[in-house]
Amino acid sequence: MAVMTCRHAVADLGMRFPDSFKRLFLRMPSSNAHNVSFPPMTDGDDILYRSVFEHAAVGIAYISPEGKWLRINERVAQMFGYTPAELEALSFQDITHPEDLETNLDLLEEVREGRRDGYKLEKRYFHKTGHIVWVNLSVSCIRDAEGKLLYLISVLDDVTERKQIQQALDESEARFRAYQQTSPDGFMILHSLRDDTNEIIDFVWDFVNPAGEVITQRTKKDLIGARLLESMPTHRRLGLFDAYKKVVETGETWQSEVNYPRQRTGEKIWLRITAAKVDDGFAVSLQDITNHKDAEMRLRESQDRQRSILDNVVAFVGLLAPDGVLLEANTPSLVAAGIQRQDVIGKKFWDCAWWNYDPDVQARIRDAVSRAAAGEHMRFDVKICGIGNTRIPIDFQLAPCFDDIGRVTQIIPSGIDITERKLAESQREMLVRELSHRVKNSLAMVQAIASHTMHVESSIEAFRESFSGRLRAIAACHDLLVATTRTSANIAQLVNEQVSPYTSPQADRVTMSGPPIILGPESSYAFGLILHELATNAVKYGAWSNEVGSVYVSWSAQLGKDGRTEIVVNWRERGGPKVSPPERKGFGSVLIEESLSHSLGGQAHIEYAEEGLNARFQFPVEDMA
Amino acid sequence: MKRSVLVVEDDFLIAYDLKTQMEGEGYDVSGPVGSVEAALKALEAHDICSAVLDIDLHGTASFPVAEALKEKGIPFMFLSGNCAWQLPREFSDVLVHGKPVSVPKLLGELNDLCEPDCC
Repeated sequence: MAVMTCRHAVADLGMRFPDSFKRLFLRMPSSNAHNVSFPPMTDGDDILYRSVFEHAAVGIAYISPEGKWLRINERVAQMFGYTPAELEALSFQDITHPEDLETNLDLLEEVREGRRDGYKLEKRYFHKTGHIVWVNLSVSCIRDAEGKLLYLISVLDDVTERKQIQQALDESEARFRAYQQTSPDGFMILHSLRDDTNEIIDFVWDFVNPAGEVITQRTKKDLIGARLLESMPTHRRLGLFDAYKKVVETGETWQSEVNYPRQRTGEKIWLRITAAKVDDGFAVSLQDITNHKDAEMRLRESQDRQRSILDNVVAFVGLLAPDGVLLEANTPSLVAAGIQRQDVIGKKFWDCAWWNYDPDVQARIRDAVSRAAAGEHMRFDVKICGIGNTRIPIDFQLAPCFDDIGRVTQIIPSGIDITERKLAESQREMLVRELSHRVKNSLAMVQAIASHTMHVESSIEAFRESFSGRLRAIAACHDLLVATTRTSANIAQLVNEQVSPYTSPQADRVTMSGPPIILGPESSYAFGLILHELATNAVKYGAWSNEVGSVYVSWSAQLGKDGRTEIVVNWRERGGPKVSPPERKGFGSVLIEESLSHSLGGQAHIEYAEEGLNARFQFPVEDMA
Repeated sequence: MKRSVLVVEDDFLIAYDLKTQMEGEGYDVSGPVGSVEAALKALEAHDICSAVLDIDLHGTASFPVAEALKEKGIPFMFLSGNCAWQLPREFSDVLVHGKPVSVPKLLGELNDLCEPDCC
C-alpha cells in the first residue's frame, strides 16, 4: 500500500518537482554537496526510496552536468531499449534527435550558468533500434552550497503513443479541413438549443465551410453562434427544422431533395440535404443540385415532348435494339393492333402482334431487321395485323442509327397506313377499266349509228347530216351528264340541249312545261337520243318544217303500276303541215318507238294525227344508287 | 327455215344494229332484249338455235342467261366492252367478242356455233 502511494506521488510530482519530491528522491546531504562523485545511492539509502526509484512508471535519471547518464531506473532503460549498463556508458546527447539537441543544450547551459534551476521539454530520442521515442522531459538540478551544479535529475515520460495518436488526429483534422475548405458541398454543424423542459427549440451554428457560406449566402461571421430559426425562418415552413430535430432525437440520418428559396433573391435552388446527428446537434451537408435537377427536368420535358410527338403522329413509330428487341412503340402503333405496351416491349420485333398472323411475314421482318442491323436502310410495303384480325397495308421502313464509328446502335421502324393509297390505286384501276368500257361502248354506238344511218340514207350528203346530228345528240347528253352531277341531268336541260340546235333562231316555237325532274344517266342517254330524233323529224316533216309550227313539250311524274315513280313526257306538234303516217319506218322512228322499252322498260306511244304528231313516253325513274 | 338468234344487248343502238345486220344475212332475230328478265322470258317464248350475249346489262351480269342457255344446250357467245367481269369458270371456254363488234366476223363465228342440222 505504501509503495502504491509513493509511485503515485512520483508520477504526480515528477511533473512539477515540488519540495516533497526533492525530499524523497534527491536526498543529497548538504555535507556531501561538494562531493561530486556519484552514485549517492548506497546500502544505507532508504528502502522506500529505492523501491520507488526502481518501479516508477516514469523514467528517472541522474545526469552529470556534461550530460552523462549517471544513474537510471528500469523504465528509462526500457524506454530506449538499452540495458542500464549500456546507457550509463552514453551521454544524453548521444541519443537525442539532432533537431532537438540544440534547444536542449541551450537550456542545460542556462542551468549550468545558474540562470535557471530546471526546465521542461518535449523532445525526441532515438531508441536503440533507431525509431523515435517522444519524451516529455522534466529536468531539475541539485547544487552545492556555493550554487555549483552537482547533477541533474530528469523525469522522462514516454509520450510516443500519445504523440502518434495526436499526429494521426492532426492529419485527419487537416484532411477534414482541406475537404471542407475545398468541397463544393456546403457543410455545417449546429448544436441543439433546448428549453427548460429539454425540448429542442432551435439550433445554433458551430461551424460552416466556405461552400456553406456560398449556398446560404451568409458569412461565417453571420452564422457562427446565430440561431437557425431566427436567421432562416423558412426552415420551419419547409419542414427542415422538424427533420433536423428528428435527426437529433432519433440519431437517424436524413436525406432529402429540397427546392429551397433563397432569402435575399427569392431564387429557388435545389439542395440535396443530408443530416446526421453529432453530439447534441447535427452535421448537415448541402449539395447544390440545381443544375443537375434542371438538366433532369429538361431531359424529362424533352422526353415528354418527344413522346408526345411520337404519340401524335399518324405514322407507326418504334425503336429497336440491333438484336431486334423492341424498346419503344408509339401509341398509334399500339392502338392500331389493339395491344398494350407491355404486350410487346422487350419482345423480338417479329414476334409481336403486328406480324404473327403469318410465319412468312415474320421471317421477312426478321430478315429485314438483321439487314438493318448490318446498316442497310430497308423499305417495303407490307401488311400488319390490326384490331379484329384485319390487315392494314403499310409503307414500312427500317432506318438504322449509327454511332461515331459507324456501328448500328438502334433501328427505327416506322410505317404509314396506306389503306387510302391502296384504295385510291384500286379505284384508279376501276376507273380506267370503266373508262375503257365506256370508250368501247361509245365506239360501238358510233359504229351502230353509222351502220343504221348508212342503211337508210341514200346520199353521202344526207348521211353526213344525219350521222353528225346523232353524234352531236350523244355528245350533248354526255356534256350534260358531265356538267351537272355527272350521273344525272335535269329533264328541262335535256330537252333544251336536244332541241336548241334546231330552234335557236325561233325560240318561241318550242314551249316547255313541267316540274323539275332529275334523270339518271341511262334515261338521259336513251331519252336524249329520242328527243334528237323527234327534233330532226320535226325539222324534216313536222312543226318546224314550215315557218309557223310549234312544239309543246310537257312532263310530269306519276306513280306507276309497280309502285315506282314514272315519268311521263308529251311531245305535241301543232301548226305544221298535214301529217300522215310514214310509209316506211326509218331508223329514227324505230329508235323513237322501241328504244325506250328496250333500254329502260318504258313505253312509247306515237300518234300521227293530221294536225300534228302526238308522242307520249312513259318510263320509270332510275334507281340512283 | 331461218336460223333464229337471240340478241341480248342493253344498248339499243348496238342491239338494233346487230339485229338489222343479222336479218340482212338471213337470220331470224329474237329480241333484241336489254335485261336478264327479258332474255329469260324470250328463251321461254322462242325456239332459238344460238345467242349473242352482252356480259354487262346496265351493271348486271348476264350470267343467269348464260346458265339457262347452257342448260338448254344452246350455243352462245359473249359480247364485252371490257374485262371488268370475271368470267365464271364454267364459261371459260365461251367465245368473248370485244366491242366494237365486227359484224361479219361475229356472224361467221355464229355460223360455226350452229349445228348444220340445228334448224
